[in-house]
Amino acid sequence: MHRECKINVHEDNDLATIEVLGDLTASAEKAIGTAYQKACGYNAKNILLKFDGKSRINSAGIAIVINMVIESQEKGCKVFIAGVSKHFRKIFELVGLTKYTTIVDSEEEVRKL
Amino acid sequence: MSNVIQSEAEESETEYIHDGEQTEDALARRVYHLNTLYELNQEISTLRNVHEVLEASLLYIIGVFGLRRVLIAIYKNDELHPRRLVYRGMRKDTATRFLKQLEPHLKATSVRVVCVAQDATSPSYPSPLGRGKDEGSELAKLLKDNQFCVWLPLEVDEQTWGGIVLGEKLSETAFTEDDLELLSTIAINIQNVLSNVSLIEALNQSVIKETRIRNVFQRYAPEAIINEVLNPSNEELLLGESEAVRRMFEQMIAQLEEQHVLEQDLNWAHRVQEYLLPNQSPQIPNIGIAARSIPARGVCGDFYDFISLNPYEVAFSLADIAGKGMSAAMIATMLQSATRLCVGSYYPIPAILSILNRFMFRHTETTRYATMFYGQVNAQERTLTYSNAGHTPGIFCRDGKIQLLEIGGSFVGIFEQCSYEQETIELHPNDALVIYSDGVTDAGATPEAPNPEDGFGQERLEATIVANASLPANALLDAISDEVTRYASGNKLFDDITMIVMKVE
Repeated sequence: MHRECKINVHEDNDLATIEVLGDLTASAEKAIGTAYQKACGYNAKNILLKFDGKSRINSAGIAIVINMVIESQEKGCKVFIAGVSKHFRKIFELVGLTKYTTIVDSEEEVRKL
Repeated sequence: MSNVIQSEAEESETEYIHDGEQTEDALARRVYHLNTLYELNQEISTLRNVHEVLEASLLYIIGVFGLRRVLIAIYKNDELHPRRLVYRGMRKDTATRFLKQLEPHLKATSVRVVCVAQDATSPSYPSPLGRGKDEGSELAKLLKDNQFCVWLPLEVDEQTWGGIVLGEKLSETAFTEDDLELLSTIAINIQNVLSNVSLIEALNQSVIKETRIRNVFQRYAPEAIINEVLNPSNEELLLGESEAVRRMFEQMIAQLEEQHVLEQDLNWAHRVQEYLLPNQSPQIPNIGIAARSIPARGVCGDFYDFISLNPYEVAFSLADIAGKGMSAAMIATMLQSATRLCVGSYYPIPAILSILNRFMFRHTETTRYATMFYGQVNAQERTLTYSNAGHTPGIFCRDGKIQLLEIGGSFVGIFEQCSYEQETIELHPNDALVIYSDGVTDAGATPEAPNPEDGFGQERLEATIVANASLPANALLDAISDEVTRYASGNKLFDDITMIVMKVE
């Protein structure tokens, strides 16, 4: 069952967080793009893409994450990903995303880095 | 000494775990690929605009292979098919310049796939040019000069409409034959959708054009002429043809849309299943093998498969997924892929079923499960070893007597942990073995009131096998099929029928 994607953006102490609630699929591309532009506007050093732990991310959703990670890399900004299940960690690894981003367990973990 | 033994045992356990992890990786990758095919097909089948189809396809391709740069172009560029270009990871001028350079080469080539390695010096990044043409072609050189790795044409009605161009993977690994196979299947899906969507778009354009002419006419034509034309007695005469064309277009669009979605789903599932079914039965000395699968609804929730382990030994499986139609077919495809990967790893039979059980449990809804008969037949040792995971008992016939093959365990995918047992049977000349799905014994019952007693039934099946046990495998399979078809005549099949027959010579 597809869960509608809702996105929140906030910034705290040099970390811009894009919170993704629901499933990440092609239909979320525009909303994620807008959220990403907002996150970049904070000029934070790090961006955290935070899923809700139950999010399903299909190939189109992974493409959205890839585009964001690459754009951030070009801007010299580091992207962290939190709240993904073991299964999606594996998929991120298989498609090579883990070479360009760090997967963490929680927002607190990024703040400690 | 005991330390050495313990260390060797630990090493062996580590190797086993490592093998298991590699199998899990391969399974996860295969499931991810199949899900991508399914979801891409679902998504683009609902779209009615070429640009949207290309944009959606682009995203799925980036995501499934993990790519930085991708370009999809349609350059047919006639009245009905204007030029289109979608891309990621590059600037617009780069994409259009590359496309311009690409076009003359494409007109001069009949290459299906071109795949080049960007890093020619690295042995870890070889070029899998198995199905493509030479790396030295102009097209390959152009790809390489522009840091692209793969070119795949999009062909509709035997004409090249455009193509897909892929850059390097983020993982910095080479494109494999499996990747190119997947990309080809994705391209076939896109081609089918493009063919229909282009037609729908063209028809829509015609309707819009016709409506626009009518509006302009009503707005600007002299009043006298409008009165003349729109006079009810003349309208039929003067606008009749135009109106009829518009109505025809609208009807055609509605029909095309409906047909398009249904056909896409079925075609996709057919293609994946055909791609996975064995082309022919395996050949091993002194044991004849035959198999058949008849889907009840265009796609099949059963599958059978053979994997040759060595010149004398074949692994075989027959499974039946709970449920019917597209969703069951999708899970059948997934389970079949997973089975092939496990068998390739040479696990013991109970371990294979345990892995498949856990895989099904983790990757499908809780209500989804399969029954499965898995076995290995060895012509040199003349043995059959099998395990039955909740499937209809295999029927083993020797000298007119029947033995049911029931040793095994529970369904695959119901519980996270399940253990299975296996049985080995020594084979004698003229022994016959029939593995079948319950569609065989249910054939003849009606879907409205599926009473098993109305079906062909196990007793009739056993009797047919005993009566024809002297025949070779192919003829025995035909005899059973004929008997089942004769019994069920007049009643449409409501469950898939799948059988594997083996006969010791």
